[in-house]
Order: sequence, then C-alpha cells, then structure tokens
Amino acid sequence: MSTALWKDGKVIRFIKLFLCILLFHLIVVNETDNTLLIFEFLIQGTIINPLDGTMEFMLYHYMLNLGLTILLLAAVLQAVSQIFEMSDYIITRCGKSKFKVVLLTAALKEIFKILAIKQVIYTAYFVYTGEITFFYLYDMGSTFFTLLMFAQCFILLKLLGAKDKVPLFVIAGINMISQMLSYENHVFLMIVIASCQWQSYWMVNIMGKAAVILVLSGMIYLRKDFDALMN
Amino acid sequence: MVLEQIKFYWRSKFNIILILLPILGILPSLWSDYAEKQEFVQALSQAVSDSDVEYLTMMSESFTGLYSFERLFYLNMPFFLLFWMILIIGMGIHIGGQTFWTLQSGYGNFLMTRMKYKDYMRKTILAQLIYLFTFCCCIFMIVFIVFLFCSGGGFHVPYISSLREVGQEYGPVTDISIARYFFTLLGFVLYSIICMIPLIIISSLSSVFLKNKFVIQFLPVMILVGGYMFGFLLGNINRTLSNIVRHFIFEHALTNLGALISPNIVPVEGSPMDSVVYVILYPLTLIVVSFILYLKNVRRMEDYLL
Repeated sequence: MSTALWKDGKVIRFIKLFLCILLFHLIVVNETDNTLLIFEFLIQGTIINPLDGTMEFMLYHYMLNLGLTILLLAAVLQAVSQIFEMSDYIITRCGKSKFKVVLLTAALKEIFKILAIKQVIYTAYFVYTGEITFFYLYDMGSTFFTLLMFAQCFILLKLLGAKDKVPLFVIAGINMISQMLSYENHVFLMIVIASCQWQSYWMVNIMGKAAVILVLSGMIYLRKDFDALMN
Repeated sequence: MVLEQIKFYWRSKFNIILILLPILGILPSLWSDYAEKQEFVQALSQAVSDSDVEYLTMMSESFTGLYSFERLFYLNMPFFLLFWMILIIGMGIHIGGQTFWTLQSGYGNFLMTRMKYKDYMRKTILAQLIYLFTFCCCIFMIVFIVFLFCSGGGFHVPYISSLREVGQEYGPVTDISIARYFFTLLGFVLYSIICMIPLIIISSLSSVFLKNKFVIQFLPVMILVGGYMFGFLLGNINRTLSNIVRHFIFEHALTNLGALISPNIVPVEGSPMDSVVYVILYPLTLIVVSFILYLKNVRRMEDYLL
C-alpha cells in the first residue's frame, strides 16, 4: 500500500511544493524582534520602516512575493488545466454539470493542499515563538478566496474558448501589476492576497472577493454551451 | 522554414496581449514622475522672496518624457523590473514551450521524417532569436513613444539627467550632446534585451530535463527570481560566496552598466573593473548555459535513426 502511494507521485509532488513554499519563508529578511513579521513581509512584499514603524515597499521582498504568488497560481491552474485535457472523456461519461463540479473540485483540492502547507509552516513558527498573529487568519481566508477567484477566472475563460496561455498570462500579469499598484491605492488590494493597508480594509477585501466568486460561480453555472471548448 | 516560423510567431493574436500588459505595468512610473514634478510646481507657485526660483523652475521643467524613460533604468527600477518580468512570463508562455509541444504532439514526428532534429532545432532557435529581438525592439519603441507623448518636453537632454559628467548634475547646459544621450539609452535597451533573450532560449531548450509544461513556461521568471533567492540564501554565509553569487542578479548588472556610463550612478561594488565584470558576467553565464543546453539537445537526438 505504501509503495503504491509513493509510486503514484502525489506525495512526492506535495513534498516538492512544501519545500518550495518553505524555502520562500526561510529567506525573508527580518531584522526586527518580532519573528512572525516574516509572513507579512513575504505576502505583502514590504518591509517595516524602523523610524516610524510603517510598512513600506521593498524590491527584494516584492520579487519574493511575485515568485511565491506565481508558484501558487501555477500549482492551482495546472490542476485545473489537467482536468481540461480530459474534458472529452469526462463530458461523454458524466455530463456537463458533473464536468463543472470536477473542475471546481480539482481547484479546491489544490487550494486546500496549499492551505495545509501554510498551516504547517505557521504552526511551526507559532510553536517556536510562543506567540500568535491575526495576520494568520486573514492570510488563510484571503489566500483561499484569491486563489479560488483566479481558478474560476481560468475556468470561465477556458469555457469561453480561450487557449491555455491567454488566461495564464492575463492572470499572472494582472496579479503582478495590482500588487505594485496596491501600495499606493487600496482598491487594488481586492485582487491580490495582501498589501500594506490590509488592517484597515480586510473586511471589505474578503467580502468583495466573496462577491466576485459568487458572480463567477453564477456565470460558470449558466454557461451551457460547450462548443467553444471542443475546438 | 525560419521565415515561416517568424511569420507564425508574429501572426499570433497573443502579441496584442503581450504588448498591452507590460505597457500597463510600466505606466505607473509615469504617474510617480508626474507626482514628483507636481511637488516642484507647487513649491514654485508658493515661492517666497528667498526661495531659489531658478532652481525650482529648472527642476519642474526637466521632468520630460526623455527623463522618465531614462529613470527607468536606475531610479524607477521596480517598475522596469515589473515590465520586464511580465514580458518574460509572456514570452515564456508564448514561445518557451514551443519545442516541447512539438515533441509531444504528432506534428513533431511529421517534421522529423522530413528533416534532421538538429536542423529543426537550429532553425527554430534562430527564428525565436529573431522574433524576440524584433519584438523587444518594437515594444521599447512603443514605450518610448508613449513616454514622449504623455510627458512631452521635446528632444533635449534633461537638466537633471544622471548621465552627465561629474559635477555637472545641476550645472549649466554645456553638457553631453543629444546624440550621445540617445546612444546611451539605446545601450541600456540593447543590454536589457541581450540579458533577456538567453532566458527564453533556455526555457525553450529545457525539454531535455523538464517534463512539466507549466514549469517550462515559467522557467525564465523562475531563473530571474531564483537569482535573488540564490543570492540571499548563499550570499549571507560568507564574504567570498557573497562576492560570487551577487553577480547573478539582473538588477545589479543593470545598475553597474549605468555606473560605467555615468559617475553619478553609484555602483553596487567598488571599482570600474568590478562593474565591467558585473556587466559581462550575467549575460555571458546565461549564453553559456543556453549553448550547453543546445548541445545537449542536439546530442540527445543525434542517433535516433540507428
């Protein structure tokens, strides 16, 4: 049984993903006393200003943030894209609505894997420092909603007949641009996982993402015409 | 076949998105320049008797389109890197996986019955090189025109340009000629393109050791970010390693090129000789790696007929 599990490759893939995400957390620069600030630095792409204690932009952390986001997006979108490769088979055997369910389930599975990895890293840090931070809750919620939102965008664009590369590029590009703009304007916080002013706008942010997800779910549900997919 | 390949790349509708998104990424730098200019304009409008009106006028007038374009390469580096990374991701997605897809699909077999794998590889890489070079030149032309159009200011060397000689930063207008200024900018652009092309070629040739479509597509940007990660991971161990690994960061290479041209830009490390090493080593390493990968690619399929 155990050898079969290892031969399957899923465990190895999970461990690879875990090591990649862990690596990003280990190389963040943090010269403050609060160890837990590394999560904020990494996921916001910022550093704390020692003079007035505000968050400000830092190029190195911004690059790390982009790398991590692209890694997460690629993991989720790859899982969805693999289902699309089997679309003929699934639609003939199970029907159209089941196909949509399979797509969303694949995305959710991958997102929960990522959340589990984050959970492990957070727990390790919490045990190590003996403290806890509110950013943990926000990060879990926001990561879930953001990745689900992008996965649904990908599914919708694919159902509308786009090839693999257009949604991939558009999603990655828009995410990167919004991260840069979100340091100046909090509106763009809605698209990315976290940015400087998340404390003031976290409620609006999560609600907005949930609303967008509901709209996208409705659009995917109402999409009955699968002709574009078959080309 | 090379010509057909280039036509195939240029005809793709993906080019439209590939031009739009990077330019969307670089436009915020214009806005930040405009905000900086407004500070001087405001100070000028509230000028009292003892304020230096001449200096304020000079500063507010020198934020031209040319100056905004010049600043991209050292002061507005984050915006430039954003632009560059989006372009690299797009290129990786557009042509990075091309050879991999050809090998995976039946189209590859169809090609290989007609020509040698080596010939196919050489022609594809040549076509990709030409396409990349022409496309990057085009996109830089568009950015340049957009900057001139939005910020205005005409074709004279900006007063506060950092590309002047020592001590002339705020000096009189007896400065470098406009031709030399343009050549310097052209040098920056060409250097950036030369640093980028091997990244895409590496991803195109990486089907030797990578079998995942998504990893191949994101490989160029992974190398770019990987330079930073690698540099910070190993660079903090000791001084020697730090001196070695800091050469693999694109930002340092670009800053040192600026430092070679103008003494007003502070290089990352020490003497002009160090700067030369920085400037040469980064593209050279990438070119050598892509060449080795090309040889491996060719050798792998050398005797498939036997």
